[in-house]
Amino acid sequence: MGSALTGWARPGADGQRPQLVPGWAALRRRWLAHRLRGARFQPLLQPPPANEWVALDCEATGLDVRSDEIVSIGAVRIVGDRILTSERLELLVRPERAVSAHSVRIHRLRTQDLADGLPLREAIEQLLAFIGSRPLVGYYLEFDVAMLNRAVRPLLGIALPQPCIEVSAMYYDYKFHQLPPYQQHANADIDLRLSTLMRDLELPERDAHDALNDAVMAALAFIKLKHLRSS
Amino acid sequence: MPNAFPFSLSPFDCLDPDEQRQVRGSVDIAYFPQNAVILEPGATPLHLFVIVKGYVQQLDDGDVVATLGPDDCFDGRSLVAGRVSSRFVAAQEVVAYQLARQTVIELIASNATFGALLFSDLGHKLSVLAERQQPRELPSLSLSRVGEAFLRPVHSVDAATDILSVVRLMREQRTSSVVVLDAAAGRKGIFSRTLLQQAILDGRPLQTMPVGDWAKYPLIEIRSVEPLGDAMAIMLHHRIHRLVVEEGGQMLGVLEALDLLSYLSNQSHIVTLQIEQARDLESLGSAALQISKVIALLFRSGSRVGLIARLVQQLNARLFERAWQLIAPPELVANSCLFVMGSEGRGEQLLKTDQDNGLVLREGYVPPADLAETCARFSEALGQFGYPPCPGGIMLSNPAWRRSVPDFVAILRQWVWQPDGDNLMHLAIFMDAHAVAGDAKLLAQVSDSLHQCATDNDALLGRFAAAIDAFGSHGGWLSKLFSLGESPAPLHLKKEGFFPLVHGVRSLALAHQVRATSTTVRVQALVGLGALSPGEGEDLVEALHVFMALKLKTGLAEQAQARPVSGTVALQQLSSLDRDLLKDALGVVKRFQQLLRTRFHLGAL
Repeated sequence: MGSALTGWARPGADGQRPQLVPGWAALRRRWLAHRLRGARFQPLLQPPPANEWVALDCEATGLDVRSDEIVSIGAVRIVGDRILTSERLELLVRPERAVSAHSVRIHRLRTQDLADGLPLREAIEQLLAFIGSRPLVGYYLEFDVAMLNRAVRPLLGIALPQPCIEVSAMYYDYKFHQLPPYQQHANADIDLRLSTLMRDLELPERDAHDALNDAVMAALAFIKLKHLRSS
Repeated sequence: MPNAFPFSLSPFDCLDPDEQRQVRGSVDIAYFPQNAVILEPGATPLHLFVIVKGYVQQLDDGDVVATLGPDDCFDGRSLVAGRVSSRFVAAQEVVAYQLARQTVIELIASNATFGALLFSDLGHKLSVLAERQQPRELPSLSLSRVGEAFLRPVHSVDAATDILSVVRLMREQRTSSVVVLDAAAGRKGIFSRTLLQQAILDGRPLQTMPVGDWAKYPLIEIRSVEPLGDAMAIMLHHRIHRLVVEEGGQMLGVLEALDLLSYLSNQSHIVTLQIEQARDLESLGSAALQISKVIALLFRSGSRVGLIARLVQQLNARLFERAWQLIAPPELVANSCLFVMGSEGRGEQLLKTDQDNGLVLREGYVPPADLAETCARFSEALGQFGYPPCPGGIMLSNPAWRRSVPDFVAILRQWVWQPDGDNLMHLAIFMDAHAVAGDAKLLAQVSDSLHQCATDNDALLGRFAAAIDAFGSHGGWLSKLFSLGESPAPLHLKKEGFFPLVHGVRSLALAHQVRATSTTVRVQALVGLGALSPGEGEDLVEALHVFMALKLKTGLAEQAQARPVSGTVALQQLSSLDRDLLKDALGVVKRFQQLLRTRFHLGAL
């Protein structure tokens, strides 16, 4: 699994993208600002508030980022060691096609449950307003971000610009450094399943499978891993 | 995870759906690494914490006063006081819900039960509230009116009265506050012990200071028709402990915070007060009525049935003692011992059943000539309190159950030597005798003689124990439980459950000279003596409690429908959980009967 994540930036010591080249971040911001459509999205490129993140999770009709559709989005702000579930975002999204029986079994949202959902574009606008420029935190965030970007690109002209922090990658690093040296090789065998990760980190796990719950669990794992790494 | 907030836990289990939404909307999740300080004395509390995972230690001056774990909440006390008074430290890494202070305050104001539970959680969390079986029905209590709560009498004094006289009055009337009437200024105030402390610290002689100078104005009043929830909110808002209750301009009484909270969480304290303060049989009768209400309230709030039974035994014992003191002359009380028997004696009675009681008189004491009338009055009074007369005449109005010590010893011997049906029954019921008034030593002398003459008597023990099969329908229950028929006959709890269990334990207790009268304590003693294995003991106590809970549940339902308590359960009406419990409990009884048959060689009889 670790190799699948190599293309995905590993977080640096501040829990964000490592600074590969000095001044790189400012340069990137300027380039993005140049391509960004509409002044109302400019705040997305501001420097993020210190010590704040947004944990994010999407439920979709399937796992194919090209053809499947988002049905719900859950997001929650993290401030320091607090998960502000009181300021959460829970959105149902109305998919354009009917939901298959298989996917209903996973997220328990039927076509009729989603009939009152928002059009995807409106949901994305609300989500962007909620996130602002805060870094994103998630478990297998790559999938969620790819799904979201399908709608974000036509809207903004660019993909989601926020730094992304992958909880499973943080966990991989943490476990990797605990391995004896002879096992520290590229395809080290580390179980990255969410339930394994939550159990190993001794965090409470909730089996209710919805986007907000998953976002909260990712947030908990993120806070704990942040502490483990600093200690 | 806000959707997973534990609404099944006290105090959140009394919230209605709107209030639950309010909680979900304002709850955050906090993470504390080990040794993190969560609250520090002097800080202003912002949240109520509910632990999801990990442990928190509460420290006062460096001493650990409490350890809180998953599902515990803290610190409601400081939240209401506005100031943290203890240090709370994460003993282990902690994940906790944090509920905004404003939300908690709003919930206390809108839902009095929530407030009461939150407070009982803090102060003296009744362990009985910990185990819940079903959604509580307490919220209806927040609709109770102020006038229904226990009000203390109002004592009022003129503002010119000196403080020393006021203190004298407070002491005589056993009150902690007086209402101060200031006619000249046209105002009313209150003077309490707290204000007395301030007056003493002033230094001037108490007899020279008029109470009017020290009272607190204005007097905060509430109308007797207001809901109790409002009374709670007013007390919290003004940070006061008393409200004067008025109706039509008249002061009816004083409502104290403690009484209010105990009314909401547990009314037994008030019943005790009513019993102690009763000066005549009539007021004692109204206290007796309260006992049934307390039972229903505690049961609905999920209290364990064993604890309810112990509480009821104490309340009943106080009631009987007080009634006896009001009826019998002091000399008779001092030279006799009033005792109760049967389920009342064992502390397993919940709903009022027949009175089973008796009186032992001191050897050589000549009772007053009107002893018969006195005893008849007592039995009659109990009848009026709701304890029906015993059909078998086992009560002290029957001369056979009021005897001197030697007479009782003699009749016990006769029961032991001629163990026929009635005598065995009398022996069994007497074994559960429990003193409630007078000189308990008198009863102990009689019980001693029973244990002396019965223990080595194998024939007696065998016959005594044989009664466990008296109702002879064991085995029948199994088919009843699983019968596929539409309406199986109701199961008789006493015959098929209680009696074989209670009497079997009683037989073992007699054989092993165990003097305790309650089944639970007998079982514990028998386990201690090695007569029962710890596992058998646990099973028996569990089974007993299952029967008691079922009997109470069905009895309360019957009372609610104004039907007589039948002592039977209609199996098809039980929940599947209750049915499972009952099946297990009856299985325990069946195994126990088998054990007794072997122990007492019942097959050989």
